[in-house]
Amino acid sequence: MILLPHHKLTRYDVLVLILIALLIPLSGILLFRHSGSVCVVTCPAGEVRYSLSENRTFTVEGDGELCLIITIADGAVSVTSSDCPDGICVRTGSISRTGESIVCVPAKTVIAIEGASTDKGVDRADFIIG
Amino acid sequence: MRTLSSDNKISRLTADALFVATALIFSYVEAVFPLSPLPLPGFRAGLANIAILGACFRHSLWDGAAVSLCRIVLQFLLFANPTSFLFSLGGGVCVLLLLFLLKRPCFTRRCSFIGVSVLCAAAHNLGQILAGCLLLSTAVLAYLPALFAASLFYGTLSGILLNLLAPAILPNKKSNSKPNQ
Repeated sequence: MILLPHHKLTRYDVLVLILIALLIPLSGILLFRHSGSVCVVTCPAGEVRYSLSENRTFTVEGDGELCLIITIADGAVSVTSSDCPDGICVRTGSISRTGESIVCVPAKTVIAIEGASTDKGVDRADFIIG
Repeated sequence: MRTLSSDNKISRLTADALFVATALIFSYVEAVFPLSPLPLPGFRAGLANIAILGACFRHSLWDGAAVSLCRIVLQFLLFANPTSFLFSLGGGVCVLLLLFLLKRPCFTRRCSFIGVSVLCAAAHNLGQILAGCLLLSTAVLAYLPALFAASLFYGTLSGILLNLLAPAILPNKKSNSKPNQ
């Protein structure tokens, strides 16, 4: 009969806990590493795609005449300045990986990164539950 | 396998039945309260592992497997959630595989129930994610970091509980497989 002689925390337990705790960022890094290739700016006026490979700066007019100045540089996109009251979009910093996004709620504008592997022009559901 | 007297068989059977009932209650709590760490419907927090580990270490891995299987089937009959049935099945299979590997003196001599619980919770959640991959799509793998965080939390919780309950659940070395009262 194999019994567990310890009914209290042992140092090997802590080792196991640390191991599992290390797996959290490790699995995150392994999964989310791909860089995007295209950024999609969605605002009330419509949706525009910009390639991340060329550096450019442009202005987007969001809802309620709030203007966001967006810069694409070195494969990353960021909001350099914005008229919105909270400025969260500016503070989000730059994004470059597929799936990341910058959202400006007052201006109802979203900047999202899409990778090269997504289907062109087809709206694919990730998965259907239920 | 050593032969058991009829007394031992009956006590083993009733203990296993109690473990199944306990595991079922945990499943019920998981189904009713929004304890699920991931926004997937049918994903379970894995608290029933407490009863499975209790049965496994009190009796044998076969008892653990039987308790696990009974719990999964009864949970499906009671709550009729097909996704959660398949998730729990995948999770249960992974837990049993892990327990098969872990029930060795070199491991049990060094760790308490907390280490075993955390690893079993990780295996349970991993099994659920793998079942989700087969059923839904490979996109569920994006939940891996949240999965490990959840298994850390629920595994430690289960492990602390088992450490406290161990004198009552596990058999004594001296007497004829009767735990301390």
